[in-house]
Amino acid sequence: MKDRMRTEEKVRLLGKGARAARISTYVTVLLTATKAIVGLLSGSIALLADAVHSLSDIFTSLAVWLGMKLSQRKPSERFSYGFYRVETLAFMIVAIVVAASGAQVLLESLKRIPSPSAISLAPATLTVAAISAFVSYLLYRFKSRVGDETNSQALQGEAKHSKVDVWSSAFVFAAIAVHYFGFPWAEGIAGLLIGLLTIRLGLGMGRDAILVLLDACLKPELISQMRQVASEVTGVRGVHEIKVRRSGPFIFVEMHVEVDRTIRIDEADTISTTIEQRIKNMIEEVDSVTLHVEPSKKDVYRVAIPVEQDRGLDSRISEHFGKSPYFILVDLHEDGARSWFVIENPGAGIERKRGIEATHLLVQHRTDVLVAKEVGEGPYHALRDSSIEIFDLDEKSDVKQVLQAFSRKELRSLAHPRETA
Amino acid sequence: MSADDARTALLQKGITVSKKSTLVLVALSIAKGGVGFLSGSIALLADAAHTIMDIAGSMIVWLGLRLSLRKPTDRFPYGFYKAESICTLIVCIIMIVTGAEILRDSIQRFYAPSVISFRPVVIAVAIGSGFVSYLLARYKEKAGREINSQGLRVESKHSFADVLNSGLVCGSVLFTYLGVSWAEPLAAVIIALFLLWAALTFGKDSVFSLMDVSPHPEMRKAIEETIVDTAEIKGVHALRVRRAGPLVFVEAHVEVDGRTTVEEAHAIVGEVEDRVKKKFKEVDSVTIHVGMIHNKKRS
Repeated sequence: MKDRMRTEEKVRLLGKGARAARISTYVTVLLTATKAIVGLLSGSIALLADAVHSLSDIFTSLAVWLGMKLSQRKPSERFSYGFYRVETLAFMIVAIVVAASGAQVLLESLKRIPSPSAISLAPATLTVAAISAFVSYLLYRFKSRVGDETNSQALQGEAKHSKVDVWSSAFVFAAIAVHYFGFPWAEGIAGLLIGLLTIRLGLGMGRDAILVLLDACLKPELISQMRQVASEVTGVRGVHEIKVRRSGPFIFVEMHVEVDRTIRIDEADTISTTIEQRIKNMIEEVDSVTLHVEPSKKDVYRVAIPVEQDRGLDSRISEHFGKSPYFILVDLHEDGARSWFVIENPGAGIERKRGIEATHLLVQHRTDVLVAKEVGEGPYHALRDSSIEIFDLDEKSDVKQVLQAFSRKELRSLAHPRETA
Repeated sequence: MSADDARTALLQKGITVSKKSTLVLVALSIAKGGVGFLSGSIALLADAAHTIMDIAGSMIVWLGLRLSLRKPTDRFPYGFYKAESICTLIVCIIMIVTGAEILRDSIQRFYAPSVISFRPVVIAVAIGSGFVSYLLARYKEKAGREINSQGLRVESKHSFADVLNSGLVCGSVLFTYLGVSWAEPLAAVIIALFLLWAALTFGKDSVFSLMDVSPHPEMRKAIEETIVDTAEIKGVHALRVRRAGPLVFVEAHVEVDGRTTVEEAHAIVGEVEDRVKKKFKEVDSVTIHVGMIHNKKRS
């Protein structure tokens, strides 16, 4: 249900982006038509040239509009990851057009340095340039805002494209002023700079688009955040091979999670669902998380055994978990090495919730396994919730004997709480 | 891992093929340029210049395959296989531009037929280069199919267009002899259309690949059947298959009995992953999520 709502939310966001691109297309068409008409009427070549340049703006706006519209399509068998990538392709088209228009400005300016153009001070040209700069600025603000909101690279790129138009229009004014003061070559130099900046912008955007299409992870900090969130989920022993890739405005995640090898798949499902929900809550743009759950490759097991006294490995085993005065904690390494220490159970003396106290103690000491004969219902579930495996002590009374049996995997799991009145 | 080695060997083979064909094209271009320079034939010099475009395309495919071979890094956790798709797309764009240019020129030639020279040296070079291009086209098509590289396959079509072009140079002699001036530009239009068709077909394919398209439905079906063909696995859902350059990535959710332990499930899934990779050599990675059976009816 929650996923369904998220899908609708995504379609809504993409729809919002498509609407912004559509509005921007209309405005650009209007602006271009105005420039062309005024250009024709006033006979200003500069305005006509500008109108031709605006055609590329219409083209990119259309590309983004179409891209965001197609992105909303539901995943199909053929496109099982959905169509979000169309948005990235639209972004690439924007990048190519921006870089090409930069190159064009650069070439034009190079031509103009030796032979500066005669600038007409026609009021019509100036007025239209001012209006165009203002409208481009509004478009830039609008697309930038919606682009951030929808996390759409294409719209953000379009916003930058409009920003270039603001510069260009401002530059027309500056060129006229500078020309007036007698530096006709300044126009060419300024055009050169704008051309270079535009090419750099286009190439930068193209690079980002290609990185996304190559499945690169653009935000490595996301990986450490996800690792953190997943590791904090109870039952998770380790997280590795986190793969993050972007598709349009969304993110796909694959992750390997290590859990205790003996837990059941239905329990593992709960862990997976929790991880998935927490990641999606933390990072909104996450579309799907594929979790590969595998048994922990841990090579050290910390085994806790309740004991009557503090005599190391020779201590006598206590039959009851909560009432036991001490616990011996033994670290068993895969290679057979072992080390141990004994801790006092502060809850042994109290009347109620002794087992819960003892559980907290074991959790604090990062225990993996408890071997006991009697574990009450409350502590039994508390221990399992903390992913501490519980094994049956059976008839064994010697710590060393228990450890040997554990290493040989002879111990049986304690399937139910057990308590003798 | 042997599966990884096999894949590396395949990509390596593609690299060798594209490297060799680049070198052959360089030799061809030098030969044409040299003969053109010595004999003073403008047609041959123009042809040598055209071969430089072929060299660029061949080098881009070579680069794409070389990048594909790189090991995954933190920044590129899925590896660099998609570089092959991007390079294929670039080659297709080059071919579209070339095709459009030929189309424009040949349409102009309907009105103003070019004067054809009967120089035997031009014809000899055209026959020689047509033969070499034909061998290259065969070689690249075969290797491209074998290693599943769209880049090599589109390059093969490019070489085939060169074969047609050489044929046209020889044919134009015949056309002029017969006095049908429209035949030559018509043949050029057909070549241009062939180039555009190949470029658009493979361009679409590489765009789809960049959009995470599934390989053909039969393969998807076969992968699904391979996964289900395991006693413990009761169902598959959310099977997602996507192409990345010459390789394929698989993600799936499988359902097992909720009482299975993680260790057992891991063994089952590990076996399934191996089986899928063994059966489909282009599969690079399989990520399987094990969940419990969804319909809770249990008698």
